[in-house]
Amino acid sequence: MLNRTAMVEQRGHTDTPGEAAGMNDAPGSTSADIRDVQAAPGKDGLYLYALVENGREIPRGITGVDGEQVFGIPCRTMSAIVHACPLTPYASEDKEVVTGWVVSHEQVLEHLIGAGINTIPFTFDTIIKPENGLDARRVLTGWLSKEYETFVQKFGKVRGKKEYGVQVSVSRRKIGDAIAATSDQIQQLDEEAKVSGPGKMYLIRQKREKAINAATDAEIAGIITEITGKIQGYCSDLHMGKLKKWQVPERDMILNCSCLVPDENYPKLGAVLEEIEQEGNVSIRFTGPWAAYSFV
Amino acid sequence: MTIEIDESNLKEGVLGLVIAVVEILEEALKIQALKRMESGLLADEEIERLGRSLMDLHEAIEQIKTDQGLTKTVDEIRAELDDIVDDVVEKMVNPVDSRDLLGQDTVSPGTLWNREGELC
Repeated sequence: MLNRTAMVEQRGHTDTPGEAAGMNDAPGSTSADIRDVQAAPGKDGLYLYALVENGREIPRGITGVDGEQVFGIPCRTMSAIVHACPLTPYASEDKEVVTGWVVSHEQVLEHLIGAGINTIPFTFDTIIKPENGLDARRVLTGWLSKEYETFVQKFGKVRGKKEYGVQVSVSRRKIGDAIAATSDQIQQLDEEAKVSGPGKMYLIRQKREKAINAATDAEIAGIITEITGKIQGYCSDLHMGKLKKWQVPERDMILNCSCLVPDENYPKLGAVLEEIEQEGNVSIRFTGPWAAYSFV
Repeated sequence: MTIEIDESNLKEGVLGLVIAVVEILEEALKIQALKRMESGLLADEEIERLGRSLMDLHEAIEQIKTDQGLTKTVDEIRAELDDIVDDVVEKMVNPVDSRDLLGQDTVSPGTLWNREGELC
């Protein structure tokens, strides 16, 4: 399992596609190989970026978090993409430093995805440490062997597909104004308020606001149903994420969706989203391709 | 999750939190008041009195926020409270953690951890 391939990759060189990704694992690996790979003092851990399916050449000379050299550790039909690291998680009070690390992590994944490599991503700061007398490499390969079938299934789920983000926003105020202008109920409340004392008028205004909010929510629910209905045919899976603050003032995010999209469907999905946006009611942010975090 | 309060101005932070809680209570009162009004059981005079009381409360809260320069602080605290509620609801709706998603729940403890020091 552990052979020359891993050592070569650690120095930033990749060999043939199969060799680089561990396709040519030779039996008879020695513990000396393992010690050579993890020789750096104080770096007994392995920072894990991703698992990749063998068969395509891993891009050469990738540097990862903190400029560390990224290399592959093969295990059967997959390889773990890692760098040697200390046994402490990356942590800093400086947000810029942390952002830089996270960006570097994502860039490694982008390199892999960009090279067409089937990738199972891991989140920032996933570190494997030595355990029970085994060094990190042996812990890692032991774990990959144990969970091999699980990962094979996950590779199968994302093979030939990429994750894209679809975020949709509307202006609740504009929707509310349109409802207020056309709703009989709102106009009745306005008439009632005109002939009421200040106290009752205040309550009627609260009622008016509540009615507009309810109608706005109903309209937004309809928009979400319509959009998801139009895009789900192009996705093999959808994952609804938490709504966040939209960067543009007076706009509210109503849909934050991760889509697992077969490569051949990407242009069609983009075209459908463009059509929806051109109808004028919503703004759409379409991002990706991303590592398929949401689906593995 | 913690509510972040500016330590350099504890008074502003604490007062902001108090006002945020009072605003939430005010909203609950409004809901109740509207229910009473819509029930048809209140006389016009009672509706008027109820409305004026709530209006006065609202004006008092706004006045305190303006006088103490708390509008932004209260907004921020309420946004953080909203996030906490969202997280709780999210966990109720979808009680699956990242370990399950990654299929790593069978890894022996301490083998993998994230930056919060949790097994991932």
